[in-house]
Amino acid sequence: MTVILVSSDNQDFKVDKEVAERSILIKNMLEDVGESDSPIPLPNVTSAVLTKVIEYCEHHRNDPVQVPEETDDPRKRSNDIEEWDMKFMQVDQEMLFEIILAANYLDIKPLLDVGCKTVANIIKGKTPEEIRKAFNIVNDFTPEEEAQIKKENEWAEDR
Amino acid sequence: MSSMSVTTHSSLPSRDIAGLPQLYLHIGSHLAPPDLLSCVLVCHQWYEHFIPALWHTLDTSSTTWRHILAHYDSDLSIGKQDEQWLQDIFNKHGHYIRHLHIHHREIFQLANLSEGCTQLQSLRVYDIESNLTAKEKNAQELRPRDARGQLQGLEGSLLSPEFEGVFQPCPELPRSLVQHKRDWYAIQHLWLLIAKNSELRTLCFYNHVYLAFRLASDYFHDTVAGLSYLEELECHSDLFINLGTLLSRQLPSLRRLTLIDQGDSEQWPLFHGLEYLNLRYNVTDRTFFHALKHLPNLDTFVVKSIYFRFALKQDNGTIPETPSRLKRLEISEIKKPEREDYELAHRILPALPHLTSFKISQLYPLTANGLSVHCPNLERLEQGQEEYTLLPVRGVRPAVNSLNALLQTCSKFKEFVGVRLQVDAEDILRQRWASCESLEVLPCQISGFGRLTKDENELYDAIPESKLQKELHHMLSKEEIRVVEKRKRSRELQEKVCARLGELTHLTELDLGYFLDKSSHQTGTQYVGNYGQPAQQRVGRNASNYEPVQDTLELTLDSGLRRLAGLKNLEVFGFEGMDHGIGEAELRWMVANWPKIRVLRGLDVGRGVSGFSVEGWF
Repeated sequence: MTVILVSSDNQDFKVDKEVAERSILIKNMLEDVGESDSPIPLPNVTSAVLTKVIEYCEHHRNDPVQVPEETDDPRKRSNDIEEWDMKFMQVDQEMLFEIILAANYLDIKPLLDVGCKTVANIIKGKTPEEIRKAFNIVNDFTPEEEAQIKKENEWAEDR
Repeated sequence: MSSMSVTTHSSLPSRDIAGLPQLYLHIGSHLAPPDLLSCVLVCHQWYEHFIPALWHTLDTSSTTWRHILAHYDSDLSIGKQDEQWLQDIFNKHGHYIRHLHIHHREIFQLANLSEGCTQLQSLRVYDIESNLTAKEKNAQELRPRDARGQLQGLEGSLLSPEFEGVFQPCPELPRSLVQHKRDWYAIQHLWLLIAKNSELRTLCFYNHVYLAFRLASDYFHDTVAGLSYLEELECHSDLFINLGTLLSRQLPSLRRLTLIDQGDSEQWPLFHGLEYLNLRYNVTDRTFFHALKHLPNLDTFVVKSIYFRFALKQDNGTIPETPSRLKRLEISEIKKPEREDYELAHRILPALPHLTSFKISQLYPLTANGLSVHCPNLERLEQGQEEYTLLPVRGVRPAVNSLNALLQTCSKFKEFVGVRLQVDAEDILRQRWASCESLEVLPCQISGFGRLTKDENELYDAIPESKLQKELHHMLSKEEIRVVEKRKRSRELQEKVCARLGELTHLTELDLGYFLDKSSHQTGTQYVGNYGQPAQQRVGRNASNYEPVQDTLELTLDSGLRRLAGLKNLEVFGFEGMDHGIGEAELRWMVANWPKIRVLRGLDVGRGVSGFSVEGWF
């Protein structure tokens, strides 16, 4: 069984129901509507992004549904990303954030997680200046503000 | 720092993401505090985005915290880290904290007095006695003594009228006057903090928190009963068990419970939802069965040890009529091996038909047999004390060969972890377990391959290639022939053993000795079972005089490595770090033949410690 997804720029995407249902949003919509052939509009997702998202869902169509648990244990913070996912995420920053937003909107937790991990990996180990460079950001702190933030959060310095 | 409308060219806070603060929390959850600190220093916008993530989990175990708090009540207030300064920071950021790990009791006050700190989801208290502030350190005052000359604890004023008669000062601890005063306030702040965080999911008191429990049981009850979302609790036993029946109604979500030392009530409150129970003390057999009976959904049961009080063949009433649904059982100590082995096999295991995982400090034959008879679903067995080994080791211990029976009957068996699982090379070929195809994890030290000694090797290497051909053997000396034959036998044995291991195609982890040898020695106390007892004795060797196990597998392409080509699921491969013979060609072979390989342990020849990851190497 297939469903039709319509991107914000009015392109139709025909995908297997199983693939589309990686998105909890779509899964719930389909459950609410019941058997229906009507296309599902996704006004928040462009065709370029939807193409990527569908590619991800196709690849992970058979993954078991994971139940991510929030943990307060820093040792459990793992940034392991599967090789395929890593390659999949090798896109420019704009697309990376578009994918994260789409994953959030469509409620695809594993994709959201991979996206956020990818961003975290870009940040990891960098100084504030290096982060600014990586994300093309201008420093708008005065030296006094910077010193105060450092002081207030000094406890976080331990590597 | 209010949000300012500053134009940045950041692509991160692009059109929508800025409106979704949970995405920053999500990204932040993959970053450690130092990285989050860098994030908040990037620009105003990032500060706003990431400051909640930075304060989301506050773990005060770092040395920086110790340093900061050392000046907490100092008159000098070095670096302006005095009481008020710290309080201001907590007032500013306290409302972001969701997970709080406390190692200093000053944090109780800071968090409690921070008005916003009411949304904690977990509170873990590790140590509140040993970290001292400046004033405490310098305090010389002695504590008052009572009429009989006994040291007294010290009360101060009450922070809340409801505390009238609730707390008891604690004279038992060797503390100064100033410390007693501080304790007195800290404990009040702690309980006020708990009381105002009614959405706590996790509340755990670890080691030295005796202090926190000098309080009236009705206050404890009322406060804990107010935590109706509580899922995990770790605390001292007495207060909890006495109140258990009351609390069981008020904590419907409780899934995990750990109780620390003190006493053993045999009556168990009925906690319907409880899945995990850890009793860190010796329990009687009656308590054990009573708990099984009254915790219908118990999945994991951990006890320090079971004390069998009742005479054999008596008191069958303690065994539950319906078999328990328990899946995991861990027993960290065996005190009277013979008795306990018998009782485990005849009374405990028959009641646990659904057991999938069993962990015990030492596995004795009757228990092993009991597992094979009563627990057909067993998938994982862990034995945690290193001086015992299940399998025959040449010249060390008589065979305790019960694993075979186990593997024959438990078709789902996947993982065997034994701290000193040593096997003789000849013997592994006779072991049925070595062809248990469902095995996924096998740490196992195989030795006794009869490899050439250093001198023999030199002799062998000196023989010209041409003379090694069979028809030219008459040109070799007697000694040379012996060495050639020995080498041949050893190679054949290695091939056979590798072929045997190569059949275990489900293996994801195969450790041929690296972990077994290194872990217990380098760290002294940390080995697989993590039973908290220092590893002092090695099988037949003196621990302080560490020598690597000799005569282990040579893992070259000539000597049998190729036979392991079928291990397509292998992710972790470990081997004794001496004489493994692995070179670049072997590494390339491994990467080519084991598509999932992530970690090699043992490459650092000799006495190195760390494992070695091949990730990104090829």
